[in-house]
Amino acid sequence: MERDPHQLIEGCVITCYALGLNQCFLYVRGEIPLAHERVAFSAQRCLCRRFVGKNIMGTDVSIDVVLHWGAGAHIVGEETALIESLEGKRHAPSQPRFLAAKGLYMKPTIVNNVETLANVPWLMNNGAAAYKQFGSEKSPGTRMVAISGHVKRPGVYEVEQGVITFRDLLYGDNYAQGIRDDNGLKAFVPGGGSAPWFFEEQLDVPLEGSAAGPEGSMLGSGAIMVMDDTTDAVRAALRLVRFYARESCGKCTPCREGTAWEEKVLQRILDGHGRPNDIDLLLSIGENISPGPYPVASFPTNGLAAVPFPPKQTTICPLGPSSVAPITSAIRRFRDEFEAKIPAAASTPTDHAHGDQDHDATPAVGDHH
Amino acid sequence: MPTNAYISHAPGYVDNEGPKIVTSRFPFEDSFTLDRSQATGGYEGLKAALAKSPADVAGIVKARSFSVVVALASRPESSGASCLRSGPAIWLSTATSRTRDV
Repeated sequence: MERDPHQLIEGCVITCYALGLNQCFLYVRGEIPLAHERVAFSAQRCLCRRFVGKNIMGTDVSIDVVLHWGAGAHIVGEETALIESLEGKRHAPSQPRFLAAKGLYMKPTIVNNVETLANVPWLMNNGAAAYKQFGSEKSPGTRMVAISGHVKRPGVYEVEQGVITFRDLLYGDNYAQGIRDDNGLKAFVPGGGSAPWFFEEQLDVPLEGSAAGPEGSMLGSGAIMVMDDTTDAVRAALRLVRFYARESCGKCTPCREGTAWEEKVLQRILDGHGRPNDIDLLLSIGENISPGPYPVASFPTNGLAAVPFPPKQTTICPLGPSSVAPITSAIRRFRDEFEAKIPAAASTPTDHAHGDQDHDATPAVGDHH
Repeated sequence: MPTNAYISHAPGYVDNEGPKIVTSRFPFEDSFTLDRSQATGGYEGLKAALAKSPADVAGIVKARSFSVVVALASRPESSGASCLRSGPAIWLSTATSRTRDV
């Protein structure tokens, strides 16, 4: 939207024409003011040139484009929350419904993302056959991935789906060019904060949704976060969980209470005030938000198999279960780091006065210790 | 159009030798302008689409299996096909709302 807003507007208009719609809403989140500016400016230019509005390019096709600025919330990416927000209500997801029948203002609605619509003009110019030349059989075309974290060349890349692997992406000369300072890879998040972590063993998984799912994670938003071996697993998990705790809309109890609780527990472990049963407590909170085995990558060294994606949920939307992903991934793989941070038997009462004697013995009356 | 008059966009896009479908204009400094768009085939796709029937356009898109922040909604049927108001600048109204009170 910042770099090529016209591609998006053109994609919207083509899509509206194909589906016989005559009103299009562009909901731009509040975090990207430059995108607001550029989309608005571009749409105004298009209006002058008759690319949107009434009688587009001299035909009898008329498509209205309404721009709407969000106020900045992660959860409006969920389609029912987006529609609630667009209607002027609070940004909480509503009960799942079939939006093509009852969507915005209870009218049939199609919700699509920017990347999808930006593909449409190219597809119109070059045809579906040319599009299928890119990518694999199951997932044709390209997708945008954003590689961040401990790599030599972080950035946004357009990659062919299913053709390249995570190893190519992280170590390839054409992409991220390896881990910083040539450190070892500890873990990486393959598709946004809500994706369970991948490790060295999963480097050869192709970059394709259908391949990442059975391995226990997803490609999601395409935001890949790389952690080298100097990373503190507890701190990394806390950072991700804190995001979900703050972004939780508060509608469903397991998510509202659970995400904030998880954050508190992780914070106290990191601060050195962890309690002996905190690891079990974290897993138990996760179990309440997302019942059943949570999707995780395999851990061959310990003989643990992968749990395939997606997770089950006790909430309306997947935000709550997303907060469980970093916790289960980190605890399964780096449990020793969590245990090392928790002071041994910190909260268990001990009888120091009796030294090596039997701890079950009842202290004598008046024996201060 | 002087491009240096604009705020520079977020850094991050890396121009490598990979395929370019969405990012074809990204290497240009003025990639966001209508002039650059039209010079590099912008709105040709729209022209091509309008020459076809809506069903054909949908067929092309369907031929490639396709799904986050744009809502396309139909107009109320009762208001008829040509329900757009007259006057040029009204089609494109910018609406603001508070979605989050924190």
